[in-house]
Amino acid sequence: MGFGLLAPALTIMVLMLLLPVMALVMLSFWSQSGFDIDRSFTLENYWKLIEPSDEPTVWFGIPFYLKYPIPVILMIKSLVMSLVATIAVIGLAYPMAYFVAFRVRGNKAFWIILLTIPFWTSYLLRVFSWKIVLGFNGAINSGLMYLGLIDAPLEFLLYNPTAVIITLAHSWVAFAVLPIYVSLEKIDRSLLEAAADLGDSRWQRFWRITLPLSAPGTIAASLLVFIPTVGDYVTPTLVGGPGGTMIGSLVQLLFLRQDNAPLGSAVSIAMMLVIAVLVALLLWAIGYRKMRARRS
Amino acid sequence: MSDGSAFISLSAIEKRFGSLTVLKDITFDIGKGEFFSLLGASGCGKTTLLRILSGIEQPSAGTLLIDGQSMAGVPANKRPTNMVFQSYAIFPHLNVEENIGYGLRNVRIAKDEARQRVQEALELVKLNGLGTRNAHQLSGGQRQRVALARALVCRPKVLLLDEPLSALDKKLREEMQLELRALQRTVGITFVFVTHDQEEALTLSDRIAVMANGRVLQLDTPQGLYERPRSREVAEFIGTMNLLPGAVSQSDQSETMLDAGLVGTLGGRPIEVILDKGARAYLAVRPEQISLSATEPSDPARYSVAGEVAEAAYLGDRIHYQVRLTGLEKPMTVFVNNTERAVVRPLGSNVWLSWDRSVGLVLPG
Repeated sequence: MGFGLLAPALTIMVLMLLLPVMALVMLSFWSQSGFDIDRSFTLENYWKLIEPSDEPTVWFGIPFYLKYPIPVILMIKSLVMSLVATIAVIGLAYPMAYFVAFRVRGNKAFWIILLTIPFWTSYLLRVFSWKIVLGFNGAINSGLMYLGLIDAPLEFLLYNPTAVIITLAHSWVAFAVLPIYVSLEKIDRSLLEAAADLGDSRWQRFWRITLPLSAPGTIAASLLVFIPTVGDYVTPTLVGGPGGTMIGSLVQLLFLRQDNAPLGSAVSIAMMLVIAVLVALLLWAIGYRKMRARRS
Repeated sequence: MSDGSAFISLSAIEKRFGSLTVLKDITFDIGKGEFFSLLGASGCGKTTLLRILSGIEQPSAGTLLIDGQSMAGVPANKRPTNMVFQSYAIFPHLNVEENIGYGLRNVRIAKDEARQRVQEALELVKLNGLGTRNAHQLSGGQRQRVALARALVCRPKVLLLDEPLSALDKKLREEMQLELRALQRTVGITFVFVTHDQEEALTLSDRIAVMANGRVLQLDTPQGLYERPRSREVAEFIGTMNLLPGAVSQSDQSETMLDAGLVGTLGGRPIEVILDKGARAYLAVRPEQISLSATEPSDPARYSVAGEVAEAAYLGDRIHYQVRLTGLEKPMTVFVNNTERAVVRPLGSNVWLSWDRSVGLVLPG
């Protein structure tokens, strides 16, 4: 019975997720020779990612002793940019979720629907609209110039990592609100009353009760944002410019422009593994399992 | 025990939620060290009153003094009260020791002293050795003890208890009642206890305020409430009471006579007010004060009425009878102690009920 219910989802997952990933894994152990794919097993693609060199490539003052340092550098850059975007998302989503969970009386569904309004247009359109807002002749520059605050348009708004982070944060904030909202909504209000009764001020109550009890939802929201944004390539391509490229842009480049699908696959697989290890380490470090066990 | 002075003083407390008035004109005092109960059916406002004492709710009007200090504008975290919540409100992310020590983090004491006080509190509520257990590993009774220890460890001037025993099964509840009473004597703190269980209130309390519809109906000792209820509501709420409706035919300071229709003319002690002739009233007699006999008693110091056994229940230590009287809609309840191998009278047998002339009470209708 249980498996029967699971079967449709399981079938789709196997067909549309597991099989492509397996194809990608296979591809990453092959190699490109001219226009053809050489199907003999090789670790060359992975070796390329970590092949050492005596000549360091310096990036932000950090020397990378690698022959082909671009994947590793972009990997680190993507992780940092995603991390900043995730922090921004949680910073925006947590107060929103808190407001709906604790301050709204009655029509909470209405507020949740309001939060999803940005999703009524496509992701691509939303990213494009940021281009309009941040662009050289965009809303911000025109506005500031109209007010006489600046003489020439600001050039640092668009085509850089900041623009990517702003756009990513905006795109993902509504996804983060829901899990945080659910975990806040589940907190028994008498716990907060008990904390007040035991001498806690409003802030102490938040730090000692609300925040720890909403941690599982907040962590889930962080992962929900962090994992997909690391590999995102639409946003960096549209608003990132040359400085805002991320690992996804490299994968796209390798597959479509340089016609080196095996190396592109190796980069993708390496990225997946790095994210998986990082997430596992994070969950282990904060004792997520213990946290969940105690909630029940 | 109370030393008689007002430690908590409520005057003209009123609470409204929107257009709904849940508490009206609450005025009474609670003495220092008293075990005081607020008793009433659900929705009578007793929990709201407790929450006003704790500072979780603010009264819409009226004044509250605790130990001579006005509590107006004093938030819950600054009051000398601690509460045991009905749901216990055990913090799920903390273990037993962390739960109990929660309030001590807000008091300026050394860490060693805090640890020692937590250990003492664990012993006080008999949870030694369970300090590192997680909240979800505790039984209902243990959770209740943690909640109690967590409140007591802060050494409040007043401990507020919101139906703390209602979630426990009967046997555990009776055990905890005795423990709670002993605990209150040991710590000497003023307890304000909310319950809907009249037996529990009678067992535990020095004094009880019986509440209904946001008002205090009567405030008295358990004995006073049981023996001298001032209204029909209180008489029916505390224990079992037979109420015979009638009209006042004659009254003076010591006795009021009621014309109870076909049942006859019966008398009882007036409570507080002397009722006018012709006024509707009830004669109230407790079931255990009534004797049951096969023949008419000839004692002139007793009232007697004739009836027919409608129901008999054998409870071991006593027998409960429902006796139907001519002209009375509700049968009278009679408890007969099973002292001398009492025979259970068969249904439909004719019996005489009698009670001492001094035991009946006349309550306004």
